[in-house]
Amino acid sequence: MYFEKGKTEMITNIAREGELISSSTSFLSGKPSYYFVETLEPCTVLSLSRDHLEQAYRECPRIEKLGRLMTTYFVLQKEEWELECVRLDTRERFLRFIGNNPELLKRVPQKYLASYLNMKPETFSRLKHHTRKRPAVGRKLL
Amino acid sequence: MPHSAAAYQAALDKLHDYLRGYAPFSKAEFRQMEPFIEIREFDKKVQVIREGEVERYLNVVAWGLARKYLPVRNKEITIQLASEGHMIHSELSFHFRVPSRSVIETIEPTVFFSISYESLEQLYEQFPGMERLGRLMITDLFIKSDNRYFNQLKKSTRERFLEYMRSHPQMVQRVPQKYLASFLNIKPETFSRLKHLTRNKPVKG
Repeated sequence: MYFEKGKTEMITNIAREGELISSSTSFLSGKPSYYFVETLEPCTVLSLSRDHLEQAYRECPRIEKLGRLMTTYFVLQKEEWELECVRLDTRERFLRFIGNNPELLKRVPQKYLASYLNMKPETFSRLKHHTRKRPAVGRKLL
Repeated sequence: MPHSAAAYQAALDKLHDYLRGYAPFSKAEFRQMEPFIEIREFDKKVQVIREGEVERYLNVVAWGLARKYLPVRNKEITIQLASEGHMIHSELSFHFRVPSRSVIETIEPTVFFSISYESLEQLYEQFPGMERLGRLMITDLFIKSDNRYFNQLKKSTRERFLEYMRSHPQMVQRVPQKYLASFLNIKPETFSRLKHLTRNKPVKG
């Protein structure tokens, strides 16, 4: 998921199997989306329309609880990501991300990962090279 | 900062109106909720929650003004400003029951209507209708936070400044400039310069 800033695409979310992706603010508010959601690989997605979700909330109050807890989780996940962007420096952000998502490094083109981590592609390359040479140091920092 | 009983009642009524903005919610239902609400009063410049403590409360500002900041390498990065009617808490700490990384500090003498984590869980259990209110409030929080995030990434410094000045003129009077600059992610020098610019050219219309 990304938005356009001038001519660059700023990636704000990457989702793989079992993860949820949606232009959430647009979905939740019913307003036009600022974001683009685009596939990186061929994808099959399970989708729930806004109308159906509203219907589910009306018909089954227990779904409200599920909805509340899931929305809470999104808010917290987002908050955590934003705090990390402020709190961690470029290198720490890189190490943490790669440590938590080693398989994405193989599946996602590097320029997208760099954009997601809000760093220059060159910086991403350099950090990647650096950790490969000294994996033990990288791991310990996580 | 003593307030009369009538003033508290008026503030509670306002809280009821605020909550009703999210979901239909009768006076009687609100009365049932009232015993769960704690009134907490703080002087100005008091740390309501410190780094490392676990956040116990979800607060709505009844009177006053508070900010939330993140201590990062000897700097304080202001991430939220909350005045009357706004919700402020250390979200991650409150929901995950982990030590807070952020600090909430009052700017003015402040009164909070607070609900503890335990009370909130109890409310959800006793009143299943609350789930809808909770979901809609959190949805709104998500939308606001996303808009702020988007503005920070996409808009220029100047745009961010002008937009905030236009939408929150009263905050400019109440919030120290360094906190506003930090909140808008603008250098204090740049903030001063931009402020000067708007003063020289009064906004048309």
